[in-house]
Amino acid sequence: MPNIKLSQPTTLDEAVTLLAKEGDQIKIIAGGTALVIMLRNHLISPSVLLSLGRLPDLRYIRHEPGTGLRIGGLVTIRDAERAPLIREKQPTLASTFGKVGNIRVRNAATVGGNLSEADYASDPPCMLVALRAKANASSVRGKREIPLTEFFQGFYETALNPDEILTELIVPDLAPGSRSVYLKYVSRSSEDRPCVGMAAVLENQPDGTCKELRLVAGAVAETPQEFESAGAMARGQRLTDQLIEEIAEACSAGAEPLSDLRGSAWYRKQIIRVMARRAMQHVIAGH
Amino acid sequence: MAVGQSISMIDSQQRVTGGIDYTLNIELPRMLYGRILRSPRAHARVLKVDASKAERLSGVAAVLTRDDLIGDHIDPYFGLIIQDQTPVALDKVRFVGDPVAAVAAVDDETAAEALDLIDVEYEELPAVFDAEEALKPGAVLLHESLRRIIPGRPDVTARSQAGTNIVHLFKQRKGDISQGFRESDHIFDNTFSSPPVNHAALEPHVAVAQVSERQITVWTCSQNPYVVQRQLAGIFKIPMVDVRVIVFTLGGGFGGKLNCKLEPVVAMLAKKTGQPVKITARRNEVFLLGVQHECKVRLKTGVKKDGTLVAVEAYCHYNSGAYGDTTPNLITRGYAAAGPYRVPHLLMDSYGVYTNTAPSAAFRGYGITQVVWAHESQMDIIADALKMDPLEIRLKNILQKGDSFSTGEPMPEMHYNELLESAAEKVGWNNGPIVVREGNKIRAKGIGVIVKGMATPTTSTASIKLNADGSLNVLTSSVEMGQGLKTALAQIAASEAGLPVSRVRVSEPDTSFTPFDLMTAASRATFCMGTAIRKGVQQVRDQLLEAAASMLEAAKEDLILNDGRVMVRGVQGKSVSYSDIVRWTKTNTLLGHGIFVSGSGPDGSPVVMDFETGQGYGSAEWHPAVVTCEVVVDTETGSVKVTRLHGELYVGKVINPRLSELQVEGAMLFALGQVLFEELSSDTNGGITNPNLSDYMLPSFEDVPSQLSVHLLEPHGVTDVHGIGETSLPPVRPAIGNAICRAIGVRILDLPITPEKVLRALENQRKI
Repeated sequence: MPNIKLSQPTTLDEAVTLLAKEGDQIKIIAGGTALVIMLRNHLISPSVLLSLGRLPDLRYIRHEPGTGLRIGGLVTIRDAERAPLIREKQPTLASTFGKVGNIRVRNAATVGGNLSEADYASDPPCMLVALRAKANASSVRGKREIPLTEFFQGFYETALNPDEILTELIVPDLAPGSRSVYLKYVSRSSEDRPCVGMAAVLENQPDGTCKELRLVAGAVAETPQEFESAGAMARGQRLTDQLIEEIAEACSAGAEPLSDLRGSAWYRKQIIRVMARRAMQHVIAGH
Repeated sequence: MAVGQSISMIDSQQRVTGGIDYTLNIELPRMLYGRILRSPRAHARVLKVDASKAERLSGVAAVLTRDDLIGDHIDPYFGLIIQDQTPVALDKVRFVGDPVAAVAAVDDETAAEALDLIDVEYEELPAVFDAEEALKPGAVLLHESLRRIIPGRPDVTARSQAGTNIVHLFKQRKGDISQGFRESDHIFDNTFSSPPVNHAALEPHVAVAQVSERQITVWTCSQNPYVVQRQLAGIFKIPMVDVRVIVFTLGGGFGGKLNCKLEPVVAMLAKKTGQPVKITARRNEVFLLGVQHECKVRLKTGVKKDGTLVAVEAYCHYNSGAYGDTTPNLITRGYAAAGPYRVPHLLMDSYGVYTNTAPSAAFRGYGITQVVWAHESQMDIIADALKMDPLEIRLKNILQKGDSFSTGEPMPEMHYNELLESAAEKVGWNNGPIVVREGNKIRAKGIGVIVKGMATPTTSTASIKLNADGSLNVLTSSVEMGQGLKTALAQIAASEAGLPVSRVRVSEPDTSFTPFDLMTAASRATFCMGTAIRKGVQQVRDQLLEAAASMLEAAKEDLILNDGRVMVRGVQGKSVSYSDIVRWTKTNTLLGHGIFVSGSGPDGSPVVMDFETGQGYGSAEWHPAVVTCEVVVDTETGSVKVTRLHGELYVGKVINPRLSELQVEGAMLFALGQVLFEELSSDTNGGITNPNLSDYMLPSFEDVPSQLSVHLLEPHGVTDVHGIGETSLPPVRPAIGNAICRAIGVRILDLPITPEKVLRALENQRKI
């Protein structure tokens, strides 16, 4: 790729300034696991690559009471998977990161890159939507927070403006007694992307009834699909086997999945039902 | 003795430290980089190829077009049996991906840029993608002109005719098929299909060519350098001596690197530019250079009430794609359509058919895979219908020594009873129920059996050189491609020569220096080249013994070779080293030549099949194997996990037990993805839509069954050597298919058995 200029700023200010100047001729590269494939297949042809590799401050993992986990955009998926702090505060999220691609991919790919790419068949997005995570983005115009529920907008499309860099992921703490799970269903090789990913977060009232249930499916549509009906059906109820079955059925009936080499729309509807049910059973049983 | 020992691969250190010189790594001074312009149309007349703009691009050295294929200096047609291919399209393109032109430039990017500047005009023609459609009257023809068939193939000349899309037709007629069905109590009629799949070797196809005044030198990752040499000599109309083909260790072959692939194009570019040129196939191109024959097998089988097979009528349609390549040989493997069973009445037609799809190639399992999927699936269908145990019905019909095969030849001892019983026992066949339900998961066992032939007639030759220091060179054109061949051949040579393996070097092929070998394929190299090497070493041994007898004043019969010395049996201290012998002979080197030619079957009869009846002899050796497995099917998702996989083979004398087991394991894992998810998909224009390793998935290590085992049956004192590379692959497919059917009661006839197909079948079953 001899005609592409590589720019390696050393401060965030420098990076966002360059981004503002070059506009649509520039692409941001972090781990490169997705971008390089796109370049090689001539799906994109930027004149400048803006590498974030030399930015000093985006590789932290912190926890702040009241805010939750703060994960720098350049943290690799592998580091996020293994970080004791994430394993302690959000064990399901850590294991979700551990389901991305394979270890070689996870060692290079970054948390920020994963979200910014917005590949529909990726594991973390639906889990992060279910956890009500937020992204921080920076530009010459300043910094803003974007809830992930509004972040994903289409195939490879996000709410990020062309001049913005995703700098941080914020994952609020779960309410005490909440449980979460991510189920990755693959239809081909074990290393495949998900045919259906199913994230569930359940918060119960002290009396054992459901305060809040969030079910979000990944890889079934352009963006993570949250099943609003599931939340509504579960609220204030005890999740009996029958109710679980009814919710799962409603998720399946309400879904309008896509078809690809991993499964047809019909098949995905069946799997959404099965995975929704299994995810609910998991969070009830607490394992 | 080195033979029979589980020594490590002799190149294992280099393998794990990046020390192997793959063709991919070759860089030559002034080397140019080539790229191929490929057709976007499945079938079209090429009206115009204008490369002038591309030629003017800075950095472009030459553009190869059909204009370069015209003239007395060149014969553009090549092909293993039917010469139906040209380096770039002459008048037509026949599949999406057919080469139209090629560029050599100073770097890869410039070459790629130049491709966009080549102006090609097409006149679209109707295309046909399905083998049976292509046989119908009025189907569009891929190759209109008279076929050019190499001499010595009257069978192909008789059947491969212009005016049809038939590449070749192989027939078998045995007994009386009508009588057979009349005598049958039950008749089963099913059609089984296998999709096109790719070899997906880790190393893509790579070729480098350099043309000096007289000689064309090609470095290529080829499984048969001598075929490449002959074809290039034909194209350039020069003597074979002026074509030198050099092959290094391959990063996997699996049949995908046989015959000419990139070599004609790269050699023509090198000739045109006067500079070395390298072409590395991009991953998507690897899928265009050869795929396994898509195949449909209709199998109609008549049986007695007690499960005895009486009659088999089979129609095999192998999709050859746009060119013939190995198809005329491969489709004769229809001879295994009735399996390794006694079948008195047989009618079999096996077609190889041209279609506008990516060309087919040899593929591990070589045409047997597709018919094994059929006969072993149907064997379980029959067993189910007759309420027989799958093991029992196979034992009842399996070929015993002296039984007549589909070719009519009497079979040698194949040890099938032992193989079947042992393989069944390894997965606990008779130990507890064959199907176990655990919630929404069902666990069940399955079995598959194969008889695999070998390429016959066949020739391997080797030169042996004992050096002045007593070390030994083995000059061979057999190819190391990860299977451990160099190690096995070194063990054979070392054993025969009375030397430690560390004193033996096995060469890589170089047609200017290493003698002829037919190919490294068809599970033949260890047997054929191993035999040639043994014979060559024996000539050296004779010279050693002759000289040592004089030197030690002893009778030749009393001498033994051990660890680089000739000793007198029973006399301590009376011995002489090989280096002393070589010095004594004043030759500085002792030479031996080994030639192995096999054109005869196990009983010595010539391997020839009558082309009207398919009766005669089919192979110099027959390779038997049984695969058993256990699967767990999730009835809610349809997903299948293979939990146990066992291969049981008779391979005669085992040269290296551990490497043999690993090769069998490899073959079984290779099959795993082909059973469960591997499949080339294509759009309505015939273009492959998943030519990359993300959309075309391969199994990962996490898919490996938790219990993976191999047992090689090696009767005491056995001396014959059998090939091992392919035999265990084909039966994996029906073994898993049969286990899935036993688990859920529905049978998938079309590979791969995806979770979606399983779930749909379960849904349909629930509705009934």
